[in-house]
Amino acid sequence: MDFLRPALLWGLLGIAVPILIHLLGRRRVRTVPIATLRFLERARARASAHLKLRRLLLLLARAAALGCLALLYAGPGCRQGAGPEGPATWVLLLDTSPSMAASRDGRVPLEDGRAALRAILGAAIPGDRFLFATTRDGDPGWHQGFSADPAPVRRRLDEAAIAFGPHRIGAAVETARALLEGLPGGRVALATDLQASAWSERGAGSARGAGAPVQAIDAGLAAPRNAWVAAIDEGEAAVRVQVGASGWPAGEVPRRTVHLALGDERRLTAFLEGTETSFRFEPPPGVYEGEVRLEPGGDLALDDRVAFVGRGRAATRVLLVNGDPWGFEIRDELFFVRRAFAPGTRLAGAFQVREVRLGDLVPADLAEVDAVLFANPGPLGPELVDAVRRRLEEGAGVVVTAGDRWSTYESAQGLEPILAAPVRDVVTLRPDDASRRPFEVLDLAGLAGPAALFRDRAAGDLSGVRVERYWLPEARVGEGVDVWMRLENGAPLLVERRVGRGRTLLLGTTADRDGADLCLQPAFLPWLERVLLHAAGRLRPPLAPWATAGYPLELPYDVPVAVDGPGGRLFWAPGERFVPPVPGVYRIRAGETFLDAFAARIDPAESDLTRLAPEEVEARLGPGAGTAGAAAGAGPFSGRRDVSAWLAAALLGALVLEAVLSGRWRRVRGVGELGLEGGRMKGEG
Amino acid sequence: MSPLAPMLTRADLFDPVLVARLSRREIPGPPSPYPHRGLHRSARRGASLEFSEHTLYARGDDLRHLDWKFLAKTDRFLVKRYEDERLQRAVLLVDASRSMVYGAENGGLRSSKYHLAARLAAALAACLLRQGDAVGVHLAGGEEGVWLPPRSGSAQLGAVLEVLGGARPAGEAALGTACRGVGERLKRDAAVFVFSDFLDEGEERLEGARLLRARGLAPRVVHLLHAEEVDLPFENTTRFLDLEGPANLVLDPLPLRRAYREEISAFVRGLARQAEALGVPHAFLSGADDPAPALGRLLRRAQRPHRAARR
Repeated sequence: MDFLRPALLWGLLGIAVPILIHLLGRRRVRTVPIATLRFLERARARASAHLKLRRLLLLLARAAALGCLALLYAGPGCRQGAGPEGPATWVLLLDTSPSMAASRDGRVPLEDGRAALRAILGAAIPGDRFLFATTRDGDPGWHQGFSADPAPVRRRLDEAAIAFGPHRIGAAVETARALLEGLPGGRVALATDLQASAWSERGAGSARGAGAPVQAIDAGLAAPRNAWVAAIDEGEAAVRVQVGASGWPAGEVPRRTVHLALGDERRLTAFLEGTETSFRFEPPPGVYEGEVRLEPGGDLALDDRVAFVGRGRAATRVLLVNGDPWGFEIRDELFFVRRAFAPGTRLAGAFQVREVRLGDLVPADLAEVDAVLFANPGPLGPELVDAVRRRLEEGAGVVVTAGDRWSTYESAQGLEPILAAPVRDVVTLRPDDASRRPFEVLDLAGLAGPAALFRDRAAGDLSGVRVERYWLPEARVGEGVDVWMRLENGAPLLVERRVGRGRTLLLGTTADRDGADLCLQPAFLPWLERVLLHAAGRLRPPLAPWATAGYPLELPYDVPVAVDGPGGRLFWAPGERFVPPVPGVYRIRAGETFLDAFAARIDPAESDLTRLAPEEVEARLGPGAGTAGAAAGAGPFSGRRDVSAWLAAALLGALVLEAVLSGRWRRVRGVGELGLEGGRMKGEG
Repeated sequence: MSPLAPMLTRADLFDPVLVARLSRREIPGPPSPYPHRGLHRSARRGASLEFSEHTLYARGDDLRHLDWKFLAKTDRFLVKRYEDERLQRAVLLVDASRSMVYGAENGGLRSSKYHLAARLAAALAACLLRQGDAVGVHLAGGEEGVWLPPRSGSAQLGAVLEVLGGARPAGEAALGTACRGVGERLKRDAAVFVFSDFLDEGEERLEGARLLRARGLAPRVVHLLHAEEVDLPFENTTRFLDLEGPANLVLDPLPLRRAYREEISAFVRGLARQAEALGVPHAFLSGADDPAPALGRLLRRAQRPHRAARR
């Protein structure tokens, strides 16, 4: 037997108290005159045979009661055969994957597992050391170190909650074994629901190595059943919902109801017999939020209500500013650009195009425009230049193509605030000049930025572009100017500069046939699409509509953004990792400008609550592994058994014996209870 | 033990409530208008309206009492006998021995067993005097034996109270001797109410009552015990001091309580059986009991001494 608080064993000296009272108490007696001693003497004679024994038993009962009380306070326990000899070193592992949040009839595996680990802590003996960690990757508990005091470990255990993100049970067990290597009495207690997917090679891997014995505490629900929203796909005019189910025998899967909610106004319901249903509706413009709810959803509630983000149809709005309109259409500056957006082309649906003459352009035309294409612009008034610059800073894009109206230095000067770089010179190659080549071609190896795609000729062949006239930008002077296209002679042809959150691009030749034959190339359409999308800031990789809570997500932004999620506002900068901590909808903003939104949900693998057989778990955990139910408490795992309950029973027994022997429990009975009534015998007529 | 002063006063002894309860329950009616004729039935045969039995005619019997109808029918001579009704005489024999002082620890003689006995005797005397009977008192034990001859009349109650209140319980009761003395002083047809704890050695066999019965008197026994004597309510180790002697006993009462109660119970039951065997009406009272029902029964039996004797 051992004790948690051996210092309190000094309380055993209290046993001397009843003995002293027994010995000394007889000295102080009260004198009572009595009519006759006859009956007392007879009573003593009758009881004398038992009196000494009774008195001895009474003394023993009192001493035993005090002894049991002192031992109880000292925290008694005894060793069990299965436990380690001497103090042990424990690693307590709690599976905090979302599947542990399943619930049935008030039973939650997480709480059962927590209680089982708490029982192990409660059975600690002096010298035991503990380390608590969850199975989540990178859990900080691994860095806490072993603690000889169960209190902080219990506190961390109590605070552990469902954690979203990768859970690798096998890796956690291996880490625990590595920590315990070489330590005496090392043991690993793992409380888990034995969910099969958590033990799969893909999810958590397996721990097959030898080392400290592992006791798996099966805290899971028996025969778990779950249904969940597996996928939500946004189509042209419908949302398709797929449902998953596990645990029900084939043919017994209950009929389910799927609710779709779009904001507070639109609610749709479908009754689902199979695994898929569709909701047809007119999607609202732009980005919108919705929620799919499934009922009944089975044991796990986390996956019954899933939010999603729809993007509707959002065409890029482009304003074409014609700087040199002609009456003869084929000579018009925007003839080829206009043809590129004509109905039936690949750009028709992706762009919402509006055209205006430069002379008719007013600042109001620039509102709600994603990109502006200035074709051969002439001088702009300061008011217009200022409006364009403000729009640029707000995030819109500007593409300026050169032309005849730039022949004078003064016109370029007027556009300078919105140009990617000031124009230094105009180069015109003459066919009759035998001293030089009559045209320049693109340096395909130098293509970068939005044009980098065309290094691969399969995406669009720009090798046939011939430039006969080009405007030389001062690319070296303009700080922050990037060159996306160059001529073979090194002259920059397409340059970009960031203005605020927007960008302005300058094409150093014309958009028609006057300066180059780019507009005649088959690659013109994809080139124009990419340049305009890049200018509008939409060429970045599309943001995934779905994310998994706890798993990192790639954000396709090159500026710092703020992400407003269910747990508050998070900040992200390029190069950092972003992890949505909990399920819900996240809205991305740059300053006050809304950029996009996405929804995070739990790992779909967690929804399948199918359990692994305990034998399989033991086989994966390797030698020394065992599995027991959570109700077993600390019993099968602890080397020490708390005997407080037995001592408490002994204390109670001693108190009852003392009460019986001392006669205090008997109330003072009247004569009537002795069979006598006033005036006559009982039963007398 | 210190002298028990002051004595019991008239107010201590006379309990008007108890007297009223006894009178209400037991007094059958107003006193008889005939001199020398009371409410109590005599063991003697006499002239009255209450038929008792038939007896065979013997020479000298009053022919007025011959049952002529029976003679006409059967040709046999039977004489009607009637119960005689006379005034009752009663003597209250109160135990004033030292053991009756028990219970005087806290409240003096007023909370003692003697006070209980004297109070009950006084109530009984008041009831008997109210219905015209003659009542006397004899104290058994005490510093000096006291004998108050039975007399009727309201003045006798004061004398009874004075005798009871002036007693100093001491010594032994010697109830047998006391009963013999009372029997010698009284003629037949008198009831003797004995108030005692019967704790004296040898008194358990009710020898005194038997002597009284032999003399044709009607003894009634009121067995009194203090509530503490019955229950032994003491918790801690106690030195028990014998009131009538120098002996003492140091005991732990708790383990003895059950055996003690069984002893007391056997004592009380044994005395009751003795009384029943002798045909002596008997009542047991502890300090915690309501005395009115038991005394009422005794009083009722005192009105029919011959019937009680036949039982």
